[in-house]
Amino acid sequence: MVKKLFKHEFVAYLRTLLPVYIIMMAIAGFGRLIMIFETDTVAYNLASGSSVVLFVVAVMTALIMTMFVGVIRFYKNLFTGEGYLSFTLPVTPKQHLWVKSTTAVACTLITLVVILVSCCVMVKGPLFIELIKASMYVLKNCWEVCGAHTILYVIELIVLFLVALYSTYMQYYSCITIGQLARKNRVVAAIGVYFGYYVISQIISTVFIMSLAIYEHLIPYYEIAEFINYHPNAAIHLFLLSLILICALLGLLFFAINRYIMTKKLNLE
Amino acid sequence: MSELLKCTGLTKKYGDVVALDNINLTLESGKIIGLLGPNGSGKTTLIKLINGLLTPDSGELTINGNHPGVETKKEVAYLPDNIYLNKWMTVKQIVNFFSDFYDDFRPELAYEMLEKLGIAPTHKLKTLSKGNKEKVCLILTMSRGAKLYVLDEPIAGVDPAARDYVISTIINNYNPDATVLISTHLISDIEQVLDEAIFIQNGQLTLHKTVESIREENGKSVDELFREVFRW
Repeated sequence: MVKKLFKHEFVAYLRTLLPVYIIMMAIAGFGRLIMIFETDTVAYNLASGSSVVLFVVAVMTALIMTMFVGVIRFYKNLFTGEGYLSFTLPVTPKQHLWVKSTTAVACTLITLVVILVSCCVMVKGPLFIELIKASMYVLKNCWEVCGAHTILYVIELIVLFLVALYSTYMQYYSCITIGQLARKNRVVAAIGVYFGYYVISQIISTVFIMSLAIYEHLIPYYEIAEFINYHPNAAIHLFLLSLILICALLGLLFFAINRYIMTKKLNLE
Repeated sequence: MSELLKCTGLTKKYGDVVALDNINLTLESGKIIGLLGPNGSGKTTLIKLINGLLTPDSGELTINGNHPGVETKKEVAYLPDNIYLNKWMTVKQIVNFFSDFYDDFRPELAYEMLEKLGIAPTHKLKTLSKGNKEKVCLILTMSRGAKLYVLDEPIAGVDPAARDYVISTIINNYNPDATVLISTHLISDIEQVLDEAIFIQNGQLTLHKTVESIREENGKSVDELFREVFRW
């Protein structure tokens, strides 16, 4: 069932995102075509400048659209009329959540790959080679300083990115699921929940910073600084792993909220 | 006849409003049953509970011994009282969707019924008229070989001629071993096909009898009795 859900989910996503990808690639190709006819004229400068602006707008649109489609698809497919079909399929709410979030994450990655490819199309030539050289230079220096830890950093950063992406989608989904508990104006309620999360996160961070100031004498600053100094790689790993853990715990919390509401408090309009 | 659906002390509230109040009900296999009551009587709430779209506040509901969940959803074919399909899909895509998820779905039967209606599988749902969309929904539901068909107001929004089509589609295509639960307040149109009738009022079950015994005991048709019981 999960495979079938994935199949239909990807079809629904790509019918919206595919035209966006095609337009972005076309703009990149158009920009590259203009560069072939490089001359020092006002017309050329105007055309190449416009194509770059257009490309940046297309990239921004693709990123926003991907997130937007991820959230809207969840809402429309589960909490509007379509929900009567989705929730009567022989599928559990847990499977719905897993498939919807994974598809959203996968489509975000696809969008990033398409952006990267279109960038390659747009900046092909000396600039492109310079960019590759700069990236290799950063990696080489990192390898010289950190050695094999570089590979671990890359892996940890990729894992952090994926976990953070899952957690973000789960948070958006929880805004929708909590919002649908309202009797009326459920979309407005979902937006209210989102701002509620923002306020809560601000309160928590303020309390945390204030606690650090109040209990300054209890924090072993010297030992922490010494640890970072003598074991810099271990400190960075610890920092990245802590971020992964925090993101994962938040994602699990939002997942649990979504699952509970979809199982016990479902009330379609 | 085996016991298919059982409700014991089933209660559902929306805030302070009691939508269903201590419902005790048993339905057997192989029957066509009318779930009859005025608007707001609790018919749709009971149907949503059967389909796992709501959870009861107290009491229990089982279908073939299982609580609403993945197993019961394999056995229950549900027709909601609104259009619930993706409007951007073609009819063929929707048929494939049902084939993918329901093992008991009979695509050849669906295509046969669609052809009789003159609905091309290549048509997108959003291009169809409201009446044809409703018919597509009904065809999809009745193309399943389910054990329990739950049809919420299948004839409420259609003209009298189309009502005949809807009723004949139900009668000619349901799995004979299954039970069909039809919720409606348009009783005269479906009375001739009903085996049993359930009256529901203010969330309470006021009657559950065979149509034959209603006629014998009261000397009235189900429609006449309904009008008498639910008179304002």
